[in-house]
Amino acid sequence: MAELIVKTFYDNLKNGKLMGLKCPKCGTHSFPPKGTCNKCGNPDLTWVQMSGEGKINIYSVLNYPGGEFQAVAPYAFGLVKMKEGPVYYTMVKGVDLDDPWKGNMKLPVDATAKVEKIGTKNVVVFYAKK
Amino acid sequence: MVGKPVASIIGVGCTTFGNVLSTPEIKGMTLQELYMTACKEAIKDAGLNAVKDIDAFYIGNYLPQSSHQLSENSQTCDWLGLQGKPSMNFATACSTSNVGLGLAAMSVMSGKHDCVLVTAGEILDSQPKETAETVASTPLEREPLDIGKMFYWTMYGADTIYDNYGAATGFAYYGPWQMIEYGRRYKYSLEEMDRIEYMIRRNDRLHASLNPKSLMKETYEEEARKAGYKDPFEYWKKTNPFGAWPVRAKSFLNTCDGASAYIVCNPKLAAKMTDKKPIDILGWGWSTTNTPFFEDPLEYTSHKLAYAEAYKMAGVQGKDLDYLTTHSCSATMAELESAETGGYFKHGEAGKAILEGRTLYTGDKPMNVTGGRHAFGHAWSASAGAELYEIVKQMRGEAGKRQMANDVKLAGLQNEGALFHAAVTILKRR
Ligand SMILES: [Zn+2]
Repeated sequence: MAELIVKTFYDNLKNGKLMGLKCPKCGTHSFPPKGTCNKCGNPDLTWVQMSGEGKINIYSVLNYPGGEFQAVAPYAFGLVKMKEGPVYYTMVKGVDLDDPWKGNMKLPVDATAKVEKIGTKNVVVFYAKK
Repeated sequence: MVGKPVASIIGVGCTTFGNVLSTPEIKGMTLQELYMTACKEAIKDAGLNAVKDIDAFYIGNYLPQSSHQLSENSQTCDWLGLQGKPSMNFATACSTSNVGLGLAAMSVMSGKHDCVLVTAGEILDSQPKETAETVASTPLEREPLDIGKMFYWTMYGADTIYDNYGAATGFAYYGPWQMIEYGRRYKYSLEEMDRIEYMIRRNDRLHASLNPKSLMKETYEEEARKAGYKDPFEYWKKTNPFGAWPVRAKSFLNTCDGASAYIVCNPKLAAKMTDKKPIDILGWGWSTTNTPFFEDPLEYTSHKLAYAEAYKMAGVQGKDLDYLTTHSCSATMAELESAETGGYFKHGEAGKAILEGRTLYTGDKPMNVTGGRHAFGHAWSASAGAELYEIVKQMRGEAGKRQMANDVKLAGLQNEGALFHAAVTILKRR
């Protein structure tokens, strides 16, 4: 059987599930999932559902993102350190868009992932916890 | 201990960076004529004969969508006098012509070749008319290329599997996050960071104004004055909205057309092959990362690894360099990050140095004296070669009115390609 990592990821995303790969040898997570462990080189990884928990460390504000994302601009785009270890760059919400400089000075903040439909795409959005 | 030369640069060439539809020096040129112009200059610079002296060549181009060409090596060999010689096409996007130094060095280090020509060229602002029956029917009929379309193609080089689904544009994290993190960590206000960004681009414009081959010939002060502003920083703030906040739209790179070339030979033969002072390659480092490029915005993983590998091979440290070029692409603020990751400045010191004018060509820690990707212009694969051209001219003392105050004996060349390939090469004047 073909190892279809990309299809598995996107099919699950449609149902609101964040699927990653985990290395059974060293415990390193890969998200979004790539095929080989970059820590220990193990080629045989197993699927796990990610907790969707993480911390937003920094964000910029996109005024002219282009494409389908122009309709929802301006929005914040942040660096998220996921609970399981991976670093993920994505749209973040619940952060200060009026004074983003001040907002960034208050980070990091705990955040939870939610899959949202933007245009034709299912996007992993991290929401800052109040 | 400073390492031994592994290869030597004995000739350099570079076209004017501009637009083949309008810039007089390159107007009407095809991609082959851009390569040819840069290569002829490099071959003449070294005092060589292509047929007799050059054993092999490498040729770089990143964007075939705008050139409408593949296999530039076979299409260009006879334009350079290299019909029948071994060659290959290669690309690592905007680090291509930095990587060519390592490729050529490996060729001569293996003993396979004594003398290798490297060239890279790009046409980004126009494309052949698409109405033609065959590509060969339109070499002279070009039409302006929409910049949105050009960037769409360029971003074929960024994680096409996952990145777009994260609502990313490359410019969200490549520049803005460095600016925020630098201010946050080293206690600069947003206004102060804005001034640092302004100073980097203002310096780029000053440097480019001194360079006859640059895209932008007007200083920022002149532009502001023409627009009716006495204070150029006021002009910067008033007429330049945030693109990806907090980076301003007009701090962006400026695309153009152009080509660069250089000749690399066995270091033992360099003095025999040319009368010019050889510039030795002491070492290089390459590093490749997919998204995410870093966890700490002020230390790109690939920058750290490429600098470390290059310094180890060269037997030098960042603080030893008399000059450093960083890629300074869309990410004005990556200039701070790269210079500090590369140890040219201690962490937290690059911002202050830029404000004090120390990175100008007249300063004691000069950087990016061509005007970089913003003001010299960015012709993707060819740009690193344009920076190398300047390093070689500066090291030989041939830079005329733009000659640096520093006597540059040891220099670093850092570039990065979409998305993300970092290359660092360490060069030393013999
Ligand atoms: Zn592992």
